[in-house]
Amino acid sequence: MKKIVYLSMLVAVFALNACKEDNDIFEESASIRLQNALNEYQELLASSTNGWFGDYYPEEDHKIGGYAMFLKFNSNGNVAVSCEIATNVPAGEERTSQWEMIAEQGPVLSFANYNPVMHYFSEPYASDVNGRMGDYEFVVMKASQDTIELKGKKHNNRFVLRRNTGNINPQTYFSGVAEFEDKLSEFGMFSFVLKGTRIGVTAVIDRTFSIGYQDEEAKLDKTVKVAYTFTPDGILLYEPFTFKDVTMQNFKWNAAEEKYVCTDPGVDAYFDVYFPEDYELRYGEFIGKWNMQYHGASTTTWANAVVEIVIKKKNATYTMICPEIFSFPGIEVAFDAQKGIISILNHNAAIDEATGYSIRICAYDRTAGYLNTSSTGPVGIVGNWNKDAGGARSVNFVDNKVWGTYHPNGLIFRLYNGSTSIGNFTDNIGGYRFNDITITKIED
Amino acid sequence: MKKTGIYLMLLLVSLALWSCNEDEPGSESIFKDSTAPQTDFDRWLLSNYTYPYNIMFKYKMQDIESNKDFELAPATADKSVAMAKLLKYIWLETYEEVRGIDFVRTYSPKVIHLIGSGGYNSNNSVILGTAEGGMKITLYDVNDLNPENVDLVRFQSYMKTIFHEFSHILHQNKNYPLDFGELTKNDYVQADWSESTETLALAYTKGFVSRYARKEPNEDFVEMISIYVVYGQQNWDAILREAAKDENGALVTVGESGADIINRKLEIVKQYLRDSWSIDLNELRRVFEIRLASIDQLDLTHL
Repeated sequence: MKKIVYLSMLVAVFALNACKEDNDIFEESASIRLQNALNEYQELLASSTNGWFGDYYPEEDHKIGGYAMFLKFNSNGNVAVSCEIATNVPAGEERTSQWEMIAEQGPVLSFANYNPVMHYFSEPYASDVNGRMGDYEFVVMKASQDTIELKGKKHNNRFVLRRNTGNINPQTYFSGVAEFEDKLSEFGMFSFVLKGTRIGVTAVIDRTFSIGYQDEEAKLDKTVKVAYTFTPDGILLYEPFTFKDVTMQNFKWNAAEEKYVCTDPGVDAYFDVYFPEDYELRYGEFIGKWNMQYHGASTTTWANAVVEIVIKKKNATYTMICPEIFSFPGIEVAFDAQKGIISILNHNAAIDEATGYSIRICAYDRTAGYLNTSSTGPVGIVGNWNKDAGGARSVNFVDNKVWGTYHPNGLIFRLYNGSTSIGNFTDNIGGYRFNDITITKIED
Repeated sequence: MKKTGIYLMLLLVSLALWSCNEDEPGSESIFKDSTAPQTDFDRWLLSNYTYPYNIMFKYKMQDIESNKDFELAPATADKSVAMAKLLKYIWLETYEEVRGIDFVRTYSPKVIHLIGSGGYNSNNSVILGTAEGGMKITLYDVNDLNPENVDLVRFQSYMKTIFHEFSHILHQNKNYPLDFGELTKNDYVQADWSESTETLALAYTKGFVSRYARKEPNEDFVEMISIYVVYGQQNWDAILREAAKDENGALVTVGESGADIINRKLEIVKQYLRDSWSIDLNELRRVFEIRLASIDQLDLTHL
């Protein structure tokens, strides 16, 4: 019987002890701490009266690079957003919508009603059901007074907000970015140099470097992708990029040496403009007046005309103008920034005012007597520069070798009514046949 | 004596255990989940949706409430206001007028979630609305609504979804007679309803008012109600005319056609609504139509 008494006393002692162990690690409950965090971030975001700059990366794995954005959060629940590129509104224009910090597993910044700038990146289309795969809800990963690191909830891309401490006018910033990008669009390739060693070469596609390099240990060719945004004087990588134990993120453009130089302390790295061996001429070198020699109606007698090559879309296309022989504004010439070459591909050049039909420039294989009827490339003729021949700079147009068994050596101008062929554009001032074209520079 | 001691001990033990029980709830609610200040629209929603109808009107899109398969954009504040006013006027107040506010309060879905963009499936088809278990209705493509000039045909598609889903809630609470499903029990095809061979014309000839109605009796039942109410008598007559023919377009003997089956189904639907819910289906449609025809009188651009 005594045993029972002692056992009971023991139980009583334990029971009493158990009551004392209810010590919380945190002084406040989880819900109150979450609420406090929401309030804290809410105040922090609204505290920057000059707003925040942020680099917004849409798409899975931030694969097309990022865009500069400017956001101004107000404590009344409104946020004004503008972006460096044209969205649903022109570049740089701001639009206001509502923002809030909401409680989920952690604090989440939400742009919960429609903003024509922000949600341009997330809205789907009937023709493209995934749209641009941008985020509109962001988990707060880290926050300090001047930097807030966010992460998209749906697609996981980073979105880092930087307090506009210098009170920079966003319009000025955006136009600086646009000018810089415009200037840099001339260069299609760069090479990556780390501590004096050339690591590899990268083409630039959509604000992303894909650096091809050889892994010395594995003896394998590898590629590493690095996405970035433009700043007014350089680039900012998506996240700190580590290669061979060197971590880098900020690069500034050095115009004299044509390279992006890393500005992070103690880092010796740069991306310099790279011209492959077969690179021909730079975009600007094609601009100007040229004498065009070609075979027209006659295959034995040369015809000549003075053509002018002018900018259409900088570093991408030109218009070749010649009122002497073209009854329409001109034909499009494409520029390949990676190879420094120009091509004339199949395209609709203009509407013929007399008939209302489309004037289509068609690649023509005179030997086989075949023309390519497609309304767009890739079939066409490509220019070869007389690099090694000396003398005046001239470019000779030949087969671009994408049309299977046919080898175009010239162009034929045709008329089209929609997709229906009407026939050769016989009313063109200079005729409709242009074969064996060579252009020779007269003046820049 | 000894026994008394033991009992005392036991008493102490049990008291000691009791004393632990002082875990009272804190005074702070754990349901404050946003820092956004209340707007006029928020207050309007409280007094026009939450308090009268017990409905949470979520015009701010929330990822965790939305379909993860879709890329989406939220609704604008302006379009949300217009949608809130339209839904109240044409859906909630129609039922309220016919059946009273307590009915609406009890049976309406508890959450309405607005999405600005369409919900595009990977095959490029688009959905306008979905409902989950009678609890939540999600309406898509709200940004396409023009508050100045509502596209009635388009708006009818929203209402079709809503009347469809709301009718599910009704039959889930009070079942309809089994006779209904017996009428065409061999022609329900489950998920195959969307096969290209299961055409609308075929559905009509078999006594269904839509292709989707062939999925199963419950869908058939609510398709009857939603199409009857939302698209009106003219449309219904047109369906009956088509349903009176066979697959080759020849008239079928009266009494044996799809139209006859649809008429029998409609009788069951009407009787069920009358007996179980005191709802006159024709009256419901009359009220709905009057309201739909007068939406140009609504001020959808102001609260």
